[in-house]
Amino acid sequence: MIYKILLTIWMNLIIAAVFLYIEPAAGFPGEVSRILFFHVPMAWVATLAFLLSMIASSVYLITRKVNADFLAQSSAELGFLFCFLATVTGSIFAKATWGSFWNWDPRQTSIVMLLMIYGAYFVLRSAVADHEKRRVFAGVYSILAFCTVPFLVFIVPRITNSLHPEDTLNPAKPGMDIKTLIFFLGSLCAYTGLFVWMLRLKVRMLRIMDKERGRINFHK
Amino acid sequence: MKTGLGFVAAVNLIIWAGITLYLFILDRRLKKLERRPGYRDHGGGDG
Amino acid sequence: MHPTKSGRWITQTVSSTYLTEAVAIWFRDLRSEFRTRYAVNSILMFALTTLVTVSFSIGSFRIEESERPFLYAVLLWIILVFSALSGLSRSFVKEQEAGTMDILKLSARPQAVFLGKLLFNLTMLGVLELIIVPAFILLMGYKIKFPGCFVAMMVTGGLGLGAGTTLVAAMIAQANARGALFSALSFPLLLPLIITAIKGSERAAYGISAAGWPEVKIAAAYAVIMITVSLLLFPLIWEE
Repeated sequence: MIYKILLTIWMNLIIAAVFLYIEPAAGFPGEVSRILFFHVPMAWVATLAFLLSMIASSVYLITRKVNADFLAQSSAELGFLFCFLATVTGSIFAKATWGSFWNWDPRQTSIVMLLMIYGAYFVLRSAVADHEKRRVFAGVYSILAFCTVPFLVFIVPRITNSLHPEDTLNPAKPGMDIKTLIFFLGSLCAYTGLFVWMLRLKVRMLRIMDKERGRINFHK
Repeated sequence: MKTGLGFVAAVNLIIWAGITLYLFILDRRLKKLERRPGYRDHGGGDG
Repeated sequence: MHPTKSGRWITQTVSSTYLTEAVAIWFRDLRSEFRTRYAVNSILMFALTTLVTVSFSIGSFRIEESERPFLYAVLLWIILVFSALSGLSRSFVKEQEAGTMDILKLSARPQAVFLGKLLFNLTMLGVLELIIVPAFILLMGYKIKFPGCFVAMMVTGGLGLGAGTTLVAAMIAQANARGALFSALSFPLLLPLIITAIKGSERAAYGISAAGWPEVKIAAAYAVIMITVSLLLFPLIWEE
């Protein structure tokens, strides 16, 4: 409980500081760089969530513990949500800096790949009626899809040049303001904490739904 | 310019407040459901 | 009762290997396909219809000379991929529909089933490419500077298509709503391959140095990795 209240306060602080305390980073027009304090953590959480989902799927396939599959499913859904948010914020940032919402930058290409893979993953889950079969299939598909991701690393850079600010907000960059760095890392931590909180709620929800076989509406 | 930023910050804070409120309510609701007599947490195996 | 221990009627030899079992399944599928010609007809009709539409509306001169290598590669691979997606799921769906899934599970080891179906799908893709690619080249006036490289790209691209879709076909055969599901699930897996194949074909047609080979290698690596991972994962979805 105390962890959740602390997280709430911390996130409030970050939001206030990002808009009112920190100066905008050099090299970007106007105030747009402030969105990076939300965009980068979202992308980071999405990556983390998809990775966790893949690992949980493998654990399910090996041990056949239902909880591992609950974790895989919750993680995939949250990853999808954060991935979508990262796409939207990234698009806004792209419009403000490069003048177009979408230009098939390598990062944009790979994020679309991820969204498509996990879109298909949810379609697969909804299409298999048998519970155990659904879990196994979802795990298998998740691993199979994960194996295709490395190819993008080889292929995509051969086709387009990146406009992505590679090291503008890289914490290791010496030029970065210490104040900015603190709030940037703070934002990363806050988003990771938020993800863990949401993940645990989602897993508990799935567990109850599994018991009740869909008789409960949580959003009423 | 600073007034505009203040507005954006306020919108962000309101959205964040909404999200937290939702999460806390969901948490309470789940706890209530978990406390019902029929519910047991199963640690493994396929159910 | 493990499938490998129970009686096998396909090969009927005691010391049958994975390969002989796979080949037996492959030939059995080819025989039944030769009788009904369901999969090959649906794939080819889809491909020919698309090809005719493309050729009719674009013709051999509508696109400028300099744009041709790239745009033709895109069109060719769109035709090939979507024709393949329209029919390759038949290999497993027909077992499910005919009710022969359980017999197959008892009569051969999972990896052998996978290999047999993969070989069958690759045969289908081979037939598809042998007919569609020359027809496309003739109809569209596609000039290719490096035919060897182009052929290699077609072969490895076809291998990748088969490798990426066979496991998905096995999964959707056991799910509801099979038709649409197959394309929806296969497409994200095939996307890296499609991008590579388009790039490779374009470079083979352009012919700035013999530089299509990296794409051929990437497509081959894709096929090898997908086949290996599918072989490892297939028993999981087959024994359910």
